[in-house]
Amino acid sequence: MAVAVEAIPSVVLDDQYRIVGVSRAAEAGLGPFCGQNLLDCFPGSRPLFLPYMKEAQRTGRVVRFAQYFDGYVAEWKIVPAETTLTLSWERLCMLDVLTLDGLRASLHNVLDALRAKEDALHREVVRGSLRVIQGGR
Amino acid sequence: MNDLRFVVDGDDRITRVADEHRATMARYLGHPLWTYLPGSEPVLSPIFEEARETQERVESTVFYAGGTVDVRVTPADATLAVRLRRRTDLNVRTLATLAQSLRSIEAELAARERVRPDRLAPASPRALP
Repeated sequence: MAVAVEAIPSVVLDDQYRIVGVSRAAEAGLGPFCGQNLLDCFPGSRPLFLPYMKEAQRTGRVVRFAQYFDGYVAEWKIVPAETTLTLSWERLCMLDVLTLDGLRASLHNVLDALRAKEDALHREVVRGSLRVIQGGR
Repeated sequence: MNDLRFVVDGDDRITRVADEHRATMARYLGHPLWTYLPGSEPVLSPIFEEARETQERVESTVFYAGGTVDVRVTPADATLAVRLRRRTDLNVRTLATLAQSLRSIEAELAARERVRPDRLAPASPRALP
């Protein structure tokens, strides 16, 4: 089981969003940034990720969302603990920048994947809310 | 790929590379250029063909491998001396930066297309009586 967890790229952040832990799968990309603010390490990431991080901190609930960043669309998951956030992600599709034709095609795929995942996550949230409402009756 | 200089033969095989690229390109000598630069054939071969047909230097700007590349092809007998120089990089960081850099790359390619000389023009006076 531990191996499976390690196979998923993830990063643990403290309450100031500094990197305090990195899974083996994310070690190559994020290991060198340990101790630094994750959002400072990746310019442009702040407006895309900070609102979700704050939501996870504020509500104490797991937050899942779809986001494009750095050539990939991924499903991101933020799990809050007492003073930390664990951010993990699963890449869904990648931008192909080799040729203009490839870029055009993959851009459509990226936008479609983003929309589809956002819709799926939204439906999941709605279903979850309905279950809460129905359970409360 | 910031600045590449090499020579290809009539079948687009790499026959010579600049000294500074020997470490990375030497093993591709004798191989088609398209094995070293995958996906570049539809982009570069029309420029190569034009240089071969006109036997004149052809310069162009194309999109390849994440950005625009200035291409200069100089024919010499049966070979082509090719220079590829990276001009701009696509910024894929966020959808906003991607959209912005796509717009500037499109404008850059369109501008380059507009200033490209008419290859038939120099021959036209010779057709006059």
